[in-house]
Amino acid sequence: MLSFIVRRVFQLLFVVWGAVTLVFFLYFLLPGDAAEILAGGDNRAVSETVVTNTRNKLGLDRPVIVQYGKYLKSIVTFDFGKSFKDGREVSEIIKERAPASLRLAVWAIMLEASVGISLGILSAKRKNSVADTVTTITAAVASAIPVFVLGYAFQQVTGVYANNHDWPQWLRLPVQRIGPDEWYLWIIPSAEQFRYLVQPMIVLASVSTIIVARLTRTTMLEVGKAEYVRTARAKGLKEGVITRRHTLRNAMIPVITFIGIDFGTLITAAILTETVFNWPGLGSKLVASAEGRDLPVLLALTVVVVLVYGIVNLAVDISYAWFDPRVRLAGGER
Amino acid sequence: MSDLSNEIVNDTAVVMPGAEDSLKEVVAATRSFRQDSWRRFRSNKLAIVGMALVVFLLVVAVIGPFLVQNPLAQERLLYKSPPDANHWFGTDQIGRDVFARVVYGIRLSLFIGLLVSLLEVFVGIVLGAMAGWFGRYFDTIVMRLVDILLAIPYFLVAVAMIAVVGRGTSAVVITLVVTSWLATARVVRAGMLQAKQFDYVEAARAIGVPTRRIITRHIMPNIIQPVLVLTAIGIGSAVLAESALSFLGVGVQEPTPSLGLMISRSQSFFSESPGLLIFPGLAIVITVLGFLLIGDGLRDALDVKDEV
Amino acid sequence: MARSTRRFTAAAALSLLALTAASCGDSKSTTDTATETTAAAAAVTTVLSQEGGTFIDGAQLVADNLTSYDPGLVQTLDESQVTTAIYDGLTEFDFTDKEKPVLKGLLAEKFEPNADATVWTFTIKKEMTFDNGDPVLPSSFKFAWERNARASFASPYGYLISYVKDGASMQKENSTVTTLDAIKADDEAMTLEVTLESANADFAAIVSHPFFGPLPEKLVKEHMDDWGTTLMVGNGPFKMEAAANEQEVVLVRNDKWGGNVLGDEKANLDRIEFKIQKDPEGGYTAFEAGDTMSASIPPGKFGAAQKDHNNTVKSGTLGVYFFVFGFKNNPQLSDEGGKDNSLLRKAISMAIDREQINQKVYEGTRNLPTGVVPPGIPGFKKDLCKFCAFNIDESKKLLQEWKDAGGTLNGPITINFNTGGGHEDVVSIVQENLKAIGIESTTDPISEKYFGTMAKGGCRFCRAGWYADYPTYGNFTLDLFSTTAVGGNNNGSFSDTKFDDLLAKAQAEVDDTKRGELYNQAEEYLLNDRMAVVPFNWYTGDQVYGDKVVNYDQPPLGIILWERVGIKK
Repeated sequence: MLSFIVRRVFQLLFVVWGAVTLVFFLYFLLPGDAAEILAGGDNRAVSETVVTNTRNKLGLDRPVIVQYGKYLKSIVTFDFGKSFKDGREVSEIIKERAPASLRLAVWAIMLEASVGISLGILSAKRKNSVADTVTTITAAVASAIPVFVLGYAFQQVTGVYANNHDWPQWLRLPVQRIGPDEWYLWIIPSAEQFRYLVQPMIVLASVSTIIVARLTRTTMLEVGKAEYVRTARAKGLKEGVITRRHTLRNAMIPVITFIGIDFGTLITAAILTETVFNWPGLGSKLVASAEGRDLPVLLALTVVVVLVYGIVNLAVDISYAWFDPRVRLAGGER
Repeated sequence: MSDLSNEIVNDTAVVMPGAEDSLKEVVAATRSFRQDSWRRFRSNKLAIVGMALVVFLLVVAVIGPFLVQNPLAQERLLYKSPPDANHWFGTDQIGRDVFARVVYGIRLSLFIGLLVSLLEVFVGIVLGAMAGWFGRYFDTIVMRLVDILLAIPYFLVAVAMIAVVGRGTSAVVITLVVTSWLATARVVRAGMLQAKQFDYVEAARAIGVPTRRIITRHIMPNIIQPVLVLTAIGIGSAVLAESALSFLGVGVQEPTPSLGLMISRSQSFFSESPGLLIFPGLAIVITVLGFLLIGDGLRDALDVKDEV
Repeated sequence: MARSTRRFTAAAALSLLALTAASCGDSKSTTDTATETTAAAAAVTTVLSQEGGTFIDGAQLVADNLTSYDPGLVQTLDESQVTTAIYDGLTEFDFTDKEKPVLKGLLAEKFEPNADATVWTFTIKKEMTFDNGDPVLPSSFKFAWERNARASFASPYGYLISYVKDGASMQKENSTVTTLDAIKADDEAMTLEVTLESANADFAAIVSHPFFGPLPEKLVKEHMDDWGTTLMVGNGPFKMEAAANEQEVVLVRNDKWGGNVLGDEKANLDRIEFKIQKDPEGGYTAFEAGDTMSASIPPGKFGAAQKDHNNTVKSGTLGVYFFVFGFKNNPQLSDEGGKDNSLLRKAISMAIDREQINQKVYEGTRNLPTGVVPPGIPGFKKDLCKFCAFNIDESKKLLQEWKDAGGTLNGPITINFNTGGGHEDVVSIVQENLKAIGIESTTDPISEKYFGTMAKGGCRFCRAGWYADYPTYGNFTLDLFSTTAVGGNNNGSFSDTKFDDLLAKAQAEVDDTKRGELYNQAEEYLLNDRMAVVPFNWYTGDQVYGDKVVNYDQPPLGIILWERVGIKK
């Protein structure tokens, strides 16, 4: 077990290095002259002197390899430097934005898990019934609607329409931003905070709920046919007990695995949701820093994202190995 | 894109005996397995609906452009107008026929979706199979590459692709292929690892059956099922991803009719002309839904562990 | 991206090589030394029964455009809204009469040039302080200018220091020059004497830019380059409540403010929360949902905005939307190689259906142009351009004339534009317009380094927009089409000695009327003879504001007078 973990940690570090290197060189592949864009070249022709001075100030005049070394060092020491755009400390920016992303992701996962698993169990119990079909179609349609359309639709209904037709205050939801940023125990929102959280949460969860539902359904059915379940049935155990004691627990393993992986994906895939709802998270900052050629922020975000994704994956794998002895014994790659 | 590799591989459980004569039985069993699956697929109502949708869309995509108006032509005075006899879906913000643009948009979405799927499946199968078969260093390299690419948001890749090939459809296709072969490769590799251990494969190797033949005739059928499912769903994902890229500004460019682009531009005019959002939006939903249902149906149909 | 049609470039935005040599003084208005309190100013404002309130702004700040609020680093109009609310400079324009703006002293009690406009002397008002009580002295200005002009600071407006004698030496790459003797600050006599690199009658107008504002020396020295990330201390009608962050900038009323050129002595609002928007569409949705009190109107929503909300659309602003013909490496459309394609260019200009563009893309809110220079600029002449209206028949006639004289197009012409900002639709319409007279075209959408690429010879028929830095004719002619502006804002690289000469004569003319006529002649030559530029429309306001908001307007230069904005209770 320990060697497994150690091996995976080393792999994670390698992946972080690889991602940072890839992003670093992608940055220099981006079209245009970074210094010119940072000096305002998007909006007007910038004089040569200003471009040169900007380039020197940001260290972009040094050879690429030298810059690479400098950034690698800064990442290892966790001193990410200052944003090219506004000069603020990158660690400040990350500290401001990371919690917003994490909180949104956690809540979206919880919603996705609870709704998805319930739907899945329901579908499995009443396979091919009307309820099964209806829930399948609803969830499928929800995931087929592009995230930004769904988000926009929400905003129009609960924000604009509600405002124009004087809905009661509690039904009128704010259409963007994070609001008061009030959380208890870091993760539980205050009532006012929840009003800001609920829409982006639902929209973000909509993408994967169908997958969780179908996955649950499949594994439930599959496990339901397994020998030991048939044995339990033959023994005369009540169906409900069978579900709870045998099928559910074993069916959950792949589902939990998927949800765990999805968590990491959510943090970056939340780019669209964050954009639509102006939720100040890492995803929207990533877009901004790529477009704005803000290298320190871009690299720092990459490190954070890869680390989170890697750690979550590792945690899922460890728990998977813990729950399923077959995996542990088989050893090697998953 | 979501990673379904674990779940799908667990689904596949084909029990195989392990001697050469049984090999022939196995091959025979595989063939009727195919017919079995098709029968199961046909009886799945939702899957049929999915097929119908996709067939309908394909017809629209192939024949539609010959039947509709010019998607670039602008009415001088009639813009943001509601549907009427001349313009079935109304006109957009500069007077172009929305119906024609949706039809062309469907064609583009299907084209991108199918092309991306084809390419990424090919890359995924080749790399995943090789990783699984050869193992060791090759395997490690491929899997680490997958990890790294998975961790980088596809938006970033999209922007870089634009730098290399310029804006437009090719950049979109390359970006989507680069980011979506990962799931396929993982699935193929897992299937390959599992199949490698089966007795009959070991037996075939021992006998001296050439590697290529082992892979194509014995292992591939094992892997095809999850890959097929992934591909079907993947086409829908590619369509959604293209629209997301357009929304973020790094997808297909004006004046090319693209469903994603139309949607992202239409949000400004929603209150006056909801049709500008609804029609292309519906087109995307139908497209993605169709492939999703097919993929779902395929998975159910190919699942062998059914009631006896 | 969303605001790329708005350019906040300061005075005569030029490269180091292009120092305008405006010899004698400009109009009399720039040497106006009185600080009158106009009665007219009071009449414009709505009298509020109660002052105070918190204004939640959702219009000014768009995330992607933002860099820093540091007055030495502001780049866009977005940030300037905040920076000019916290910093007051030497001079400011009074736009009470929008057609006749007047330059007045703000921190400067008096400002006078010497006989040949090579030395300017500013007398600073006594007893003005920063919001922390530190006095505003002539040395505050000298310190600020020298701090902003350092090459290592890389200010986007660093080139402005080149107006000052030896200023360019500070901007040279890796320069170690940190002070300029040409700037003499006398804290006893409260005078600031500036020796210029060359005669420039516009200098007093130029110093109204934040780059030339004052800074509290002691405090800034503790942070130097990072000043913009801290809780900046300023001297404007408002002061910062906290350092700027990812989400918003919050200002509160500065009770130590010294007043403005209109006679106001205290800001109405208690507090302003500038919320940073992701984009205008999102900002507008938030406004309609009641989350904010103001918003930018996104392209396509002007009709609804005018119907449903209070707005600033009727206010004309000093901006023009136009396309320029490239005169470098552009054999199809330029006059290179001794050719004369002006007939072709005139035909193209008259084929553009500006009304259709105005209706479809701007919902009819922009003003159709009759020239390049917009109304509101002193010297403006109506109906100046003979080839700027839509007329298909006339266009075809001109095209035929050109063909008869031997002109041929050996392929489609290229239309360049920068992506984002709604230009795609304009270009699509232009393409159809050209098709109607038989000219095929392709598009060249550019997302990065657009203006730089155009300026270096990439322009064929390229889109541009210009927003006045200060209201003078020269800002729209010299800075856009003169030879000195090539490589800078002269996107088409247009260079014509006759045009340059006319401009030079105008700049040297002291009499206002005569100068206006000379400028008119230059513009007429530019359009009716050479047809170097095709104006599409003149800008208007583009913001909405809530029902309870009063005194909210976009003045011609775009900087909102936050001290006047109020909220009805």
